[in-house]
Amino acid sequence: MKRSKFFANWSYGIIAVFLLEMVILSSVTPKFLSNLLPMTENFMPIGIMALSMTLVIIAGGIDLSIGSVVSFSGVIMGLLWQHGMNIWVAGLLAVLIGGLAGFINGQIIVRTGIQPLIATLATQFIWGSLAVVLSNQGSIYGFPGSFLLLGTGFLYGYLPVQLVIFVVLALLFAYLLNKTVFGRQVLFIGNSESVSAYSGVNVNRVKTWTYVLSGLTAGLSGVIMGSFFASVRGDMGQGLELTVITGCLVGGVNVFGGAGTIVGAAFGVLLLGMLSQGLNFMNVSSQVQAIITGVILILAVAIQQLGTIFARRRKMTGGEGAGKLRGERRARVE
Amino acid sequence: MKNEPSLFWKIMQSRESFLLGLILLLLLIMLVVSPSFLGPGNLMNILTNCATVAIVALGETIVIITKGIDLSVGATMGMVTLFTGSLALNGFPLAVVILVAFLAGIVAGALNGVLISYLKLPPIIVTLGTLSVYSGIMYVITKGNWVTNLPAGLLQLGNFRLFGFVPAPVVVLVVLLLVSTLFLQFSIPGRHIYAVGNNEASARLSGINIKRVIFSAYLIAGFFSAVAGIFYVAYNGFSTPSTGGNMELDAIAAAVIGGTNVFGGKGTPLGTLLGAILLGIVTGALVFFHIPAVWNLAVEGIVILAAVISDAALYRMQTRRI
Repeated sequence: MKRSKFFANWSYGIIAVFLLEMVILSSVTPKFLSNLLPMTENFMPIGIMALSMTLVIIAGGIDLSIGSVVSFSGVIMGLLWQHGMNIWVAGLLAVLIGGLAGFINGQIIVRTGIQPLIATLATQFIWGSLAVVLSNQGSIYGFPGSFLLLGTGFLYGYLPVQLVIFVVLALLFAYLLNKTVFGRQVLFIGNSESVSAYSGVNVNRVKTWTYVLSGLTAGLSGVIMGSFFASVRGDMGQGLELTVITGCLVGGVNVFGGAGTIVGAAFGVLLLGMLSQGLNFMNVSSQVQAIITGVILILAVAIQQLGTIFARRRKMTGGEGAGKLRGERRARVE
Repeated sequence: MKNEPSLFWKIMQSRESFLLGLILLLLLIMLVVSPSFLGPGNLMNILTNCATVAIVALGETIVIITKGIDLSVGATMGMVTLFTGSLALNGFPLAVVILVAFLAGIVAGALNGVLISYLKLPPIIVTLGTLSVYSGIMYVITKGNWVTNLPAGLLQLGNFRLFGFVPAPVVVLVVLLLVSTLFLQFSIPGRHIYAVGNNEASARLSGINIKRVIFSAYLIAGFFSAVAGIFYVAYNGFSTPSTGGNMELDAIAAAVIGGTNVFGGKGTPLGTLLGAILLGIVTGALVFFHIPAVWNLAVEGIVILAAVISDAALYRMQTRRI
C-alpha cells in the first residue's frame, strides 16, 4: 500500500519540480517563455512513446525496440508514398506496421518466456537494420505540404498539433490505465504475475497488448517525426528508447513493475524535454546534456529507492520492497 | 536424475561444445563455398576484430552471472581509449598513461557497483544513466576530436606479436579468458558470484557478503573494459568519440549466445568467447560475400533470438524430464 502511495505522490512531486524548472529557465533565458509551446515540437514523439512504455514497464516488461520501430515505420511510410500511395494512407499503414512489430515482440516474450530486455534488444537490431536497408541508407523527402502540418502545424495559431495529439493520447492512456479492466490488469500483473494468472487474468494477452500499444505509438511517432523533419531516414529513431525510458522513470514509473502513473510519465518527459530545450538556449552542448540526463536518471531512481526504504521503515512491515519483487520474478522463472 | 551422466556426456551436452560445433560447421561451409575465406590471415583478422568485444563481454558475463546487467561497458571502454590516447599525446610516460587508463575504468565500474550494490538501485537504470554520463565525458575529453598520431611507445604495445603472428589483443584475450575461468571456477570469490546469481537469499543466509560480491562484479567489468580500451587504441593507433558505441549490446549478445543466463547464476567465460567468435565469423562472412554492412545488426539480432529461444526451449525440455 505504502509503496504505491509513494509512487502516486511522486507524480505530484514531478509536477512541482517541472513548474520550478519553468520558473528558473524562463528567468535565466528571457526568450524561453515566448517559445514555450513551439519548443514542445522537438520532443513530443518521445512523450507519446512514454505513455505506452509506462504500461509496458508497469506490467513488468521493457521495450528497447521502439527507436528502431520509429525508423522502420517511418521508412515504410516514405516508401509507400514514393510508390504512389496517398501519404495519409501510407501513414496509417506505417502505424499499423508499428503495431505488428509490437505484436511480434509480445508474442516472442510470452510464448518463449525469454526476458523482455533480450527479446526487444534483438528485435531492435532487426528492425533498425531493415529500416536502413530499405531506405538504401538515404533519406526520403518531398512529402506534400498538408502532411507536414501534422508535425509543424498550429491549431488556432498557437497550439502545436503535436502537443494536442500528445495531450489527447495522454488522457486516453490515463483512462485506459485507471478506469478500464485492461489497465487494472496491467497493474495487477506488474504487482504479481502468478497471483493474477491464478485469478483468471489472461496474462499473455494483456502483456502482448502492452507491446502492441508500444509498437503503435512508436509507429505514430515515426509518422510524426517524418512530418516534422519533412523526411524519413533509416536511423531517425536511433537511441530514442533510452530517452523514453528515462522520462518514464523520472516520472516515477517503478522499473520493477507494478507502480506508475501516466501523469508522472508525461511530466517526466516534459521535465527532461524542457530542460534540454533550456540548455540549448544556454548553448550547452548535447554531450554535456547527456551527462546531465544520466545524472538526473540516477538521482530520480535513488530518491525513489530511499523513499521506499523510509516508507518501509515507518511501517515496520519487514518486507523487502523492490527486492521482494525481484525474488518473485526469479521464482516464476525457475 | 537417476544416474549421473559421465563427464564425457556432460561436456558433449554443454553449450560450449554446441557452439564449437556450430562454429566448425560454419567454417566448413565457408571452406566449401570459398576456400580463400579460411586463409590464416583472414581467420586471425576475424579473431582480432572480435577480441575487443570479447574482452568487454567477459566482464559483462561476470555481471550477468550475478543477475545484473551493465549497459555502460561500451562507454567505459570508449572513455578509456580517449583517456589513453589524449594522455599519450600530451607526452605523459607510458606507465602513467596506462595507470590512469586503468583507474578510469575501475572508477567507472566502482561507481556502478556502489550505486547498484550499496544503494540497491536497479542495474539497468544505473548503467543506462552512467552510459550517457561516460559517453558524454568522452566528448568532453577531446571536445569531439579524434585521437590519432599516437606516440611510438603506445603503438609498440599494440603492435606486439606473440610468435610473430598472434596480435596483442588476442594474446590479452586468451590471458583474460584463462584468468577469469580460473577465478570463476576455482576461487572462493568466484564461486560466490555464482551463488549470488543463483539465489541471493540463500547466498546471504550462508554468510556471503552480497553487497561486496555484486560491487566486485561491476568493478571487474570496469577493469575488463579498461583493458579492452587500452589495447584497442594501442592496436588501432586511433580512437574516436564514438568508439565503444553500442558495444554493450554486442557484449550482451556474445554473453547470451554463449549461454549466460540473464536471470543469473549461469554462464562461463569460454561460452562468451565462443559467442563472440560466432558473431565475428557471421559478420566476417557477410563482409566476405559483399553483403552490405547494414545487414550486420539484423543478422546479429536473429542470432541472439535463435540462441535465447533455443536455450529456453531446451531448458523447458530438461525440466520436464526431471
